[in-house]
Amino acid sequence: MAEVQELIEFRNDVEWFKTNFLKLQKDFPNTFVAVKDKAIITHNKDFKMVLATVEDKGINTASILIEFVTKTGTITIL
Amino acid sequence: MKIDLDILPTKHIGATVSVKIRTKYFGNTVFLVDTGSPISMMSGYDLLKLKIPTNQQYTVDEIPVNLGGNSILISNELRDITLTFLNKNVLKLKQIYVSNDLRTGKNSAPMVQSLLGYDFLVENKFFLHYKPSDNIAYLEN
Repeated sequence: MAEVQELIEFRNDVEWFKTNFLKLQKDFPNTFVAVKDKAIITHNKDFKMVLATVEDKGINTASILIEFVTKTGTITIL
Repeated sequence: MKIDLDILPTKHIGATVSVKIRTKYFGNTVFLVDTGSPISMMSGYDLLKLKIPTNQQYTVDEIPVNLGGNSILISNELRDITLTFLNKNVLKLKQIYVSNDLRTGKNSAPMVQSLLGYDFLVENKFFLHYKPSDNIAYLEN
């Protein structure tokens, strides 16, 4: 099932993002980061610029992880 | 059925999910599980990332939603959504509301995450097991 295999790779990137969150906070505060294969492939404070750059690299935005890195670790009470 | 949840850096619990809408639009995302939200909701960011068109037929009257101090607007709904989880479990969701609101308040983080709310838990008869001290979180029905 290709769908699940892609999801496993996506999950690995989520795990990498979690593990490296503190470092990402220092390097990319208040920035959107796109993660693929456990690496940042682009980053920008403008979400639409991240999408455009990912597309320019020939990568489907729907398949990868794009997260916002908060500078101070925002507390969100839902 | 058991679905493992992640405890995210923001100390929320979330599920890594593949989303398929009417078999046409497909992509991966992370949903937060939010028992306090009466509705499941896809964020405007996921809408763009997953390239989901907001057809006029799915437009709803704008509903203001307050989330974590941010106020956003819901403007659309999507129906017949298929969610595939990491353990290959597949669940249907009759309806999910969509915000195409990308605004952020001053000094606040954008509401990037999509939510699986109370409606999702009820529709699928899930218990939520959550023990933060041991990093254990999962859904079970």
